[in-house]
Amino acid sequence: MEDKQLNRYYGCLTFVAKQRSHDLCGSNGLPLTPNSIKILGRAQFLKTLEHPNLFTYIDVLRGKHERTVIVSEQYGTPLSEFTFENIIEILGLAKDVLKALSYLHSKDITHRSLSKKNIFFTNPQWKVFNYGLYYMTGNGTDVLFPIGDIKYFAPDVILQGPHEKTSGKADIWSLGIILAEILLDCDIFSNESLSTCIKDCLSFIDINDVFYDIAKKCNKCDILKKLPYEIILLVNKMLKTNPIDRPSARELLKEDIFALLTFEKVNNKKNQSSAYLPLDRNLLLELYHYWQLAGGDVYQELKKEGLIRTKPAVLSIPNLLLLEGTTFGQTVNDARIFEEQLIFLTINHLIERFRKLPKIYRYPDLNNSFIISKETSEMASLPLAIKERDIDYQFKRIQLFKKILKFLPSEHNKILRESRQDIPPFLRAIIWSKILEIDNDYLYQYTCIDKETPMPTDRQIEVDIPRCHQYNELLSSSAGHTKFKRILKAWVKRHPEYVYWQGLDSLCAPFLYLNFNNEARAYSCLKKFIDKYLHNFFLRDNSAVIKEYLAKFKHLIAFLDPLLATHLLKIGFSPELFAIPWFLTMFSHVFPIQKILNLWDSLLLGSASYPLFIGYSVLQQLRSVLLESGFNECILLFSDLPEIDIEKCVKDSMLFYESTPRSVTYRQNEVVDKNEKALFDGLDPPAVTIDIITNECCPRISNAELKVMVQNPILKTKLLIVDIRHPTLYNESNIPGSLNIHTVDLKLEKHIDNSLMHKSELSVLYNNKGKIITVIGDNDKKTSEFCSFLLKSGFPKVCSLNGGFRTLYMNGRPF
Amino acid sequence: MANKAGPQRPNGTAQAKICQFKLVLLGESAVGKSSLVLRFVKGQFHEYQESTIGAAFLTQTVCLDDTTVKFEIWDTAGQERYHSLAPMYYRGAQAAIVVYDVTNQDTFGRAKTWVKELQRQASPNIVIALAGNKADLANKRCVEYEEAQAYAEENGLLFMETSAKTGTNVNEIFLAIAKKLPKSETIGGSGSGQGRRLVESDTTAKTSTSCCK
Repeated sequence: MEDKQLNRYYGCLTFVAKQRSHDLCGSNGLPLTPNSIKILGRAQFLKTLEHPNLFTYIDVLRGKHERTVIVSEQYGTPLSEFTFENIIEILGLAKDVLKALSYLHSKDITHRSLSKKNIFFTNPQWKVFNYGLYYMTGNGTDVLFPIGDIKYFAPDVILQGPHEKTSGKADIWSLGIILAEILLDCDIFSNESLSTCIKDCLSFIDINDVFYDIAKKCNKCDILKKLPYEIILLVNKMLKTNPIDRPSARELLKEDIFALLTFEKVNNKKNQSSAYLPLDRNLLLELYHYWQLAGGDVYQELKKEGLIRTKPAVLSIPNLLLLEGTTFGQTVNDARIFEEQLIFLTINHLIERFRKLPKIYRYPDLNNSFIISKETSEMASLPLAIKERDIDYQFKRIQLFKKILKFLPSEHNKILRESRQDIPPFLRAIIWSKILEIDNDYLYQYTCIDKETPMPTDRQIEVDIPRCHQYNELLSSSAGHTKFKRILKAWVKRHPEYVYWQGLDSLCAPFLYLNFNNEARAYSCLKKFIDKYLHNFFLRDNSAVIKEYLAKFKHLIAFLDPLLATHLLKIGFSPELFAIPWFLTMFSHVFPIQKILNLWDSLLLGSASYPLFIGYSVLQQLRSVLLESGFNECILLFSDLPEIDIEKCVKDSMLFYESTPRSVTYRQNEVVDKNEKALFDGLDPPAVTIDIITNECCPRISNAELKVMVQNPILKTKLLIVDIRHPTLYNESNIPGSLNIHTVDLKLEKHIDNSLMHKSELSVLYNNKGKIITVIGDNDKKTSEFCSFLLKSGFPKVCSLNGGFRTLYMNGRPF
Repeated sequence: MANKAGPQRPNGTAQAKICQFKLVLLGESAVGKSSLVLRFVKGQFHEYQESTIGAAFLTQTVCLDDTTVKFEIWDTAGQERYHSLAPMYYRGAQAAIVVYDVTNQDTFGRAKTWVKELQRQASPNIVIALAGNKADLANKRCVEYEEAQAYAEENGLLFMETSAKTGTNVNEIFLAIAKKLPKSETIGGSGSGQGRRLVESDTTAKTSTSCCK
């Protein structure tokens, strides 16, 4: 942020959308989307608009009873209070407004309520305000009040009736009337009644020189006569009664008269000193974000100004109610009024606050980020809920991430490292896309995909979307549904080898929510996410993939929590019964959006196996209940999953992940990093098939990884190798330090009880409980049985060496 | 069947028979299978009931005269693609509810296909009920009551039009199934693989509070 004068604020407008009857429902039997949600969905697009002559939309909020609040950038002097020095200044106004209209019309947005109140002088340029009301309300259909000031309405607007879409040409007429008023220095139609207004407006039809007519009506012909001919011509062009003859904003900007402005330096006496520093959209949004973090509450501000009045319900009871249901004597419904009253949200105090922060936070130096890390480390260990609401902390984090983002891709490692600490919600969308490494030309790629042609999966997508995270306002809006459908269709279209499985919708939801105004980025994130974490899950026949995933999940439970694993096995409560939606949707079908965001902040930084650990951590939070429950209680528990502490889940899963050998969770259907490939040598078919994995209850460790552990002095102390071959073979050759337990005298179908405790090998085992126990044998079946025996006896971290003892010799000597 | 200490019989009599049945719900996506189960088991209704992925499981107990009938309900995903998983769910099921949406003719066609498949592939004694759900949306009806009724009669199915939203006929259809199921097979008697697991947990199970009369 520059250290310049930033004297500005945001403006708030509020209105109430048309209420819908509660009994109505749509063709699919679902309740109709409330109008305020439709408005909210459409208004998201307005937030993407950026033009020097437009005030940027900042936020749209939805309150109770269909109330909608619009927050927009807003400052300067309204046109209604501005005094012009000369014609050149008036031309400057016309040019700026035309530029704004030209931009809006190119986006198919009609202002419709252009008036002196909606144009502001923000030294040195003019900016148009409230230009999205007509668009966001579905051309006025979602509200009860009329949009626009009738005295600025073009004859075509009056003639077209209330619910037809007004074209941009109507805005040109409004500007013509505004210019006429300024040039003639009068208020046209000021004291007229509504009907006279309409009559007068319609009387202009068939008149060529409307400007002259107006001057005559206002007794200002003398002023008109003194005006330059070009100006009169310009205004008359804008006031062509037939919209076809009326030029567009783009055409008008080409008029010679505007060229004059470039030669004639606008003489601005109010210049320089009070000039406003233009802020770009992102900065405006960022400041608003801080304003909210600092405790800013739009509703409170509106209440303070009396714009939202809470009225006791008893006051809205009608005086008279007829038997047929007609009511009398009610006060006028708020919904019928649109108060064009603005309230202001100031941000100057925030800027003061940030200015007092040490410079290093405002301009982070990436090569010296040690200082920042050190100073924020105290904060870093606090709970996420506190960090996300701390304005200073968020400011520091956002500045740091902005700097890192500027230097991508060379700073890719830094973004991963910093994200591990936490991701500031304000920048989450962009940070996620960078972590997922979406392609630079993602926009082009997305544009190239056909998202419109009907296809067989459309019906399924259409019934799934209105059921997917619909408590979320954005995702339940009509605009949200449209985008949702396009992204899903694009994914299906782009991946002919895969198909749409229910659950893809849930996966898409967090990305769409974050990138609501950037469909292409939402799509690309979804694509990259599935490529990494759900490889082959969307195959037409994905049963083997799911089977393997769940088998590995079972292995992980057995590896980390033998007691729980044994209990679940005993009651027959297998992961097939609850974990398919967990992994197929990476928990996005399980948790609400806000929780998914926090969960995925960490999930995205992990490997393709990491989600298994998240699943395990979720189970751990339910552990005590599960251990006490039978099959039926377990099923009921999972049908309505209790509250899960996501932050704890993330922390735990990382610990589990770090203490588990990588090959233990290796999946044949996972996309493995090139550098890691050697680690998983031998774990693929034909040596190991999915059936083998499913039938064994403990995981296998790869030869390569065991070797790494044996050779590392620290890791070695955490390892116990149990050799179950015949003692003769063991005495011939063995891994130094390994323990030989001959299985013949053990009843493996049982677990270790007192009668076995006298055996010295077993007491060695008990003394080493907690270490990673790697079982090495020469027969897969026996090895697996022994592992299961240890598992039942309550030993954690049991795994078998893949391929048995002979693999140790494959490349020469045993290690 | 372990006789661990005192499970409370729902009707308090020691002689009460307990029958456990596996019931599976089948039908096209978004016809209201999960909503029917939710209404039956918890008495709730969510307008935006989420789609079911894979399958969901719930249990509910109803009392019929001197018998306690415990339903183990397997609520399946409706998407055609999950069809390949369906046999795994309806295998060993003693009852099935095939659901369609009265406002959508296609879902009725799909229901007929499910009935055929069950008659061919499921256990021969399976009790099949046909449920025309969303009956509250009378003004959007596309499948006539008489049409479905005739079809059900022809195929020996129980039939009711239901509304998970208002609760109409939801308990009724489950009760009708319970009545029609053979009660001679007490717990563990069926010998099916699915029954075993439930036996173990049964004795420790808490008594359902929402037991019907």
